[in-house]
Amino acid sequence: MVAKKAFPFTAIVGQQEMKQAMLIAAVDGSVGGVLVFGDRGTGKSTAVRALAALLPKMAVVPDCPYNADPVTKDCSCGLNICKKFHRSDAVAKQVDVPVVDMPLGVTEDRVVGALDLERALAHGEKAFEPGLLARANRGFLYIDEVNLLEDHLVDLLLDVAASGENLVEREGLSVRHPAKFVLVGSGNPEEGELRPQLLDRFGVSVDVRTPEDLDERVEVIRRRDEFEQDPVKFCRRWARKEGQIRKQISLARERIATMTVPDSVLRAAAGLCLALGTDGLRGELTLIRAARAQAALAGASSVNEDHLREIATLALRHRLRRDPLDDANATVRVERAVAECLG
Amino acid sequence: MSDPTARTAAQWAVRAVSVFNICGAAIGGIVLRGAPGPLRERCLKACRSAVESRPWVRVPINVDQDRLLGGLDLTATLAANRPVIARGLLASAHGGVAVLAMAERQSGFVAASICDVLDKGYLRLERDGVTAVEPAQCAVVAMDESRDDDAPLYAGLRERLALTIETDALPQDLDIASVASAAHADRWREVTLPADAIKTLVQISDQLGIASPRPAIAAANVARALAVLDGANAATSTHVAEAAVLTLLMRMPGGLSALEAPPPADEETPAPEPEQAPPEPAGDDADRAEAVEDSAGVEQLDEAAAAMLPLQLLTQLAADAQRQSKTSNAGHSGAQVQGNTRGRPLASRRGIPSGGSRLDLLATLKAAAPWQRLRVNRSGARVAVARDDLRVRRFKAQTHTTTIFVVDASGSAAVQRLAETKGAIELLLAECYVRRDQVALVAFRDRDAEILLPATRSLVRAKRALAALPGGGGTPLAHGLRVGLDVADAAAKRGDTPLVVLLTDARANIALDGTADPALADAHAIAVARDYAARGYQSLVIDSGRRPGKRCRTIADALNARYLPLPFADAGSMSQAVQSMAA
Repeated sequence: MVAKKAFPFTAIVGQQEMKQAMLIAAVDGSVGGVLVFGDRGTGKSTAVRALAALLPKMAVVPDCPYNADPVTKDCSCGLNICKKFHRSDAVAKQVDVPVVDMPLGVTEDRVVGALDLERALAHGEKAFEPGLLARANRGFLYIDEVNLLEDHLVDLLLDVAASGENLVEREGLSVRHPAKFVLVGSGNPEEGELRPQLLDRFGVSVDVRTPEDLDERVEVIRRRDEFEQDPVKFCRRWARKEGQIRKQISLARERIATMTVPDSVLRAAAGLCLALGTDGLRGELTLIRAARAQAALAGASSVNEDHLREIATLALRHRLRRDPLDDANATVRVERAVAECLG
Repeated sequence: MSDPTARTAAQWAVRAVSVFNICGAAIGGIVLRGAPGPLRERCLKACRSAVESRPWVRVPINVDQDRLLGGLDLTATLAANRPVIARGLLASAHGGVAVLAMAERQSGFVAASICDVLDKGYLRLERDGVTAVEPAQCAVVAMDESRDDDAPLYAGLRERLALTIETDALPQDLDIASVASAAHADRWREVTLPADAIKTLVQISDQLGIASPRPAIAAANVARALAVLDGANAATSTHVAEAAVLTLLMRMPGGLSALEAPPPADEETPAPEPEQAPPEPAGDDADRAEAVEDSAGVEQLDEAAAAMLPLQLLTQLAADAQRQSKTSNAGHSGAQVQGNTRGRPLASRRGIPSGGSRLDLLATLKAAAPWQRLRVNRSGARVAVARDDLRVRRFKAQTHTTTIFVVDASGSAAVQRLAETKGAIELLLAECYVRRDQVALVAFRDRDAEILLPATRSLVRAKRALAALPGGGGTPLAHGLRVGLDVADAAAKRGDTPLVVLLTDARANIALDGTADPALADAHAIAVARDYAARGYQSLVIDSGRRPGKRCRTIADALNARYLPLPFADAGSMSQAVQSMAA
């Protein structure tokens, strides 16, 4: 099967905000999902698919259907595979970080996992066959066109993404397995709005627009054209840049463990959320986590107001309560509040 | 070959089909726009001639997900005692062509699945307990029969299909059988482009108001294919200009006629006939020079392209296209008419499939699976499914409501009331995603009524339409009701429940024939209102007059509507009133 090669992440022209959001999520998955909303043909899907090729490889217990981490030993899958692995002196396997594409028309049983049909048919056995959520554990789950996915599936995904665990209670099966993944959703506002309850479950949100600058647009098409003519050669040319970003992510991940957040930054974040009237604490939490990831990417050892400023729009714009009579769009409102609170 | 504009519609069609046959899959495919008929058939046949033994798969309207994407094959599964996958239409089109009949009526789901396959080149199947990845690289022929006021082709699909042929514009004696076959396939990949080709293509897309970069990317490949057709190894600027016509200009409705017909008559200096266009675009023609200066960067336009595409025409076309897209709700038509086989699935239930309910295969097999050991011995069949195992699918059907606001924007209805209505509509829209409802807006003023907002769920679009709502003039109440009725009928046809909210002071003074006669206007308005009652549409009349009165109540009675005098209503209470009715 010949799959098309992925367009390199670093070769995407412009769209700084989208790339920044993805990198933040790659550094610290606890930021929550990424929502990419905007015009058609702006490289939303391209960026997500490029991410898979970009991320540093991760170590897994061989054959564990849930990509268990061999170091932490915290696979709660209850399978013997992990236990056996830890008792033996087998070596962990290095694999690509899973970026699971949620196909259109997916049925619920394949998302959460269900009775293994093959074994049921051939042997009359009741066994659990893990679904997409298992495969996405420790990686990314991508939904293109969130608006086209059935509501109940979206709700289910958000629920699992928030709890980090998939609980299956059906057909006499009772299975619990880890499902920690970063949810990435994309969509087009012309197809309809997303419900507010759904919006605020995503950690960061990006508004993508078609570039208006002519040179930038020409560059977009030139690179795409070169890529289509010879994908292998094109990817080789960008390999160095890809390597640099990969290293940046690895370093940032190490750095984030020791990252300090001064009280002044915490207070500024709280002030910002207060000024914007965002509901609940989720906004503040995301704000701090994203700022921490941003600082780690920048190579800093502690978070400062600049980092906060850089990610404020990403983390807050979708959390504002909508005021139908106020025409100012959310981005402008956040920017205004940032200017007031952070000077 | 020297003057690419000298082609007739038929010659352009031949070029388009030839390009399709050379690199169809790489540029998405082709849209055949026009009514069904012998001309369209001939174009279709020409596209097919190059396919030869490769697959040619028709995707019918109302294709279901199992058939389109694939799923579990029951018969084979039972015979083999292991899950067997039935290939879907998209996977069977691999290496060939998928033909979409009535593409504009296909549901958003079908269109989005096709877009997905075009982007990735493979299909990932995760359905009914089976998992598979199948190659699916194909070109698409989409037959688009939409007329001016229909919903157009799903925008995501439209922008991925490079070529367009307007079949209604073709001559009856069209000879399109003799097009290039796929013999020199793949040679086009090696063709080089002129240095400024991509810049030119981007500029032309900008001029035409095409925001997405996809058509321009495809145009570059079309230029390569055109060079191959002419036996060249390098594309010239003529090929680039031709590619711009084939992929960018012909995409606009009526785009090709812009090349043939002289520019609009309101231009003072007669513009040069495009056929004899001078090579220098900014010549002595003053109007034209001005137009060129207006748009930044246009002076760098490739000469050939600039000569072919007079700027004023482009602006006109872009405006037309925008007007068209405003009156339609892209890709949603047909999606809703699926009755109770749609909606939130509930747990399958034990039962015998019949009539409306469908067998839930997976659940049935699952129910039967644990018993196989016991049953097989008894019956001898490989898989024994008993009557008790049968499960049927159940859906919780959602009833969609389309709330249609028919708003009096005449001089007699104070401007302030208009602002209140805007507020109420926005409040309703803000919550409408949750309820999955749609909102439409019809305004009447002066001498006519207009659909400002076709049924939509999009707050973005609604806000744009509302901001542009003007006020003042006479009160053509009957016109407004008639247009509102059309919108309500359309909603009902889609399977939605229309809910009409009429906001007026009912001081009708323009009759249906346009005469300013209050008595006749009232009579007409009442006559149209009775049609609502006859169809059984629910409606609400909000009397916005300063002194609520008899005239409005008469209309409400004719509509069989609830009557609500709201002389001092605010946006909040108005939206409450509507919601209480919808509940």
